[in-house]
Amino acid sequence: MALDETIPRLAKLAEATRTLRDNDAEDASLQPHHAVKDSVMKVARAEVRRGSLLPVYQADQGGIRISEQAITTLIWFGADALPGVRARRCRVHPAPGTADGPRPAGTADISVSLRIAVASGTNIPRTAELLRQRIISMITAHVGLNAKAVNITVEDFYDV
Amino acid sequence: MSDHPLEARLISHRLIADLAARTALDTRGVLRLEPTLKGLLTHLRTGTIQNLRRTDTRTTSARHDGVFVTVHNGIADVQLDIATDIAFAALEVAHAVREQIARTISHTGLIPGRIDISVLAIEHAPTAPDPLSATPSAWNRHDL
Amino acid sequence: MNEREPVVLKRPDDLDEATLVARAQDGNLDAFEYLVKAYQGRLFRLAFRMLQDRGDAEDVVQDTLVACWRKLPLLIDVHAFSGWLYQMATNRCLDSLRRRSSHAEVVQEPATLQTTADSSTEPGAGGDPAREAEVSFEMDGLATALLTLPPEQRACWLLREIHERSYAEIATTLKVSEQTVRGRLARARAQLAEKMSPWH
Repeated sequence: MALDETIPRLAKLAEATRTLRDNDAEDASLQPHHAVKDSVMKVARAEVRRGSLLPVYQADQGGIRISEQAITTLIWFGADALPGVRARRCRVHPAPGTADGPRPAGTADISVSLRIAVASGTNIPRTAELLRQRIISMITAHVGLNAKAVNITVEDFYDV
Repeated sequence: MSDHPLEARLISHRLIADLAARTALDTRGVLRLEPTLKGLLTHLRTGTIQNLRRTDTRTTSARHDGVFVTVHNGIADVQLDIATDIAFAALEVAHAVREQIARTISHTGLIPGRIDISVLAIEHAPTAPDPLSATPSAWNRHDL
Repeated sequence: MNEREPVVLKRPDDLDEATLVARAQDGNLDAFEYLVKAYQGRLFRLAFRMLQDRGDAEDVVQDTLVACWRKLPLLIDVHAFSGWLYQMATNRCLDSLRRRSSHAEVVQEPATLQTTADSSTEPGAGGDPAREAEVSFEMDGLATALLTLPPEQRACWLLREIHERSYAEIATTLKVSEQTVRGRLARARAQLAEKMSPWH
């Protein structure tokens, strides 16, 4: 194929490509049926990961346990209220030595590791300390556990 | 009143499971019962897991979504998995549920045994300010 | 409770994608559902242009998103999420084509493709009916020509030209070097340009 034929053809292709890209993106018929999302979410709900269950109250008449994920959610909610903080992955562990045995609520220790992103320009030490206090008080108030160690790692910045 | 063995036998584990579920859902701060994976599988593959459990155990048991009840010698044990509202302290909600279920069981003439509550999720309530309307919707939602 | 903390709900729309990915990794269903909504269309368009079959494309999307949920905790870099998702979808498309390859590749008639083009609007055509017809004609020509490319070339071209993925990412997806990606892309463009010309 001669060069003088190829160039206009490629230009034409580039134009058709742009059109296809824009049209497909806006074409309402080029979306999967809603049943696809429904079944994906059904599987996700059925297989939802709650993590392990941490005992928060034990007695002869039964006990109360809270899932790691429930505590994680609590921590996200707490962090969301602080400006300039986006709470990301979170790990909750029982602190060593407090595993078993009956005990009143409010005495079990847990440790929390939380990764966060902060808005650029955030005062990191101050924000991290506020967040730590907030997490400790929320965990005490909501689930009666004592967050003995709260490790916060700033992994990212986000633009505001 | 709870001393009549005949009366106790009239109360099935299924009824206790139903009562426990209703009692939990009527407690402030409870969003819904949480179906576990095991519960869902029981639902999906009708019978197989349930049948296994029935042949395995001599006591009668029933699992609704999120509630498991065992009745033996007039004593009812309950295990309940719930999701609670972030606006309430999960621990207090769980205590309230335990107390209420124990009371409800003793009204049936059975003796409340171990009542174990697991808070599997803490969430924002769906925007329904009327607490009365929250109960039936919570029922529907886990009734896959 | 004694100490009632104010509780603020941040909706998924108010969060950045990396944060949503991290929360979905930790099992948050709202975050995951938001990601599903954000990506299902894109993945479907890739699969549809790869496979030219709605049902097969929907299978790929569903399969990819279920695998995404299951494997999400293993994803190390939250910023790599979209590339990772495209990789899973592309590989499923190629698998689907391989399963089909015992049969002859079905190339749809332009008439069948027309139904897709008819239902869409034509941005950039400027309301000129003659120009609109020409644009629609070109698109059909391109969509049809695309189906004559070998699957890996088609994937290369779609990922780069329609979905604007980086060369490095496409190379990782197809397990080839970036140079190979560039080579395949050049061949794909040349072939498409040539195949399209009979319509002009």
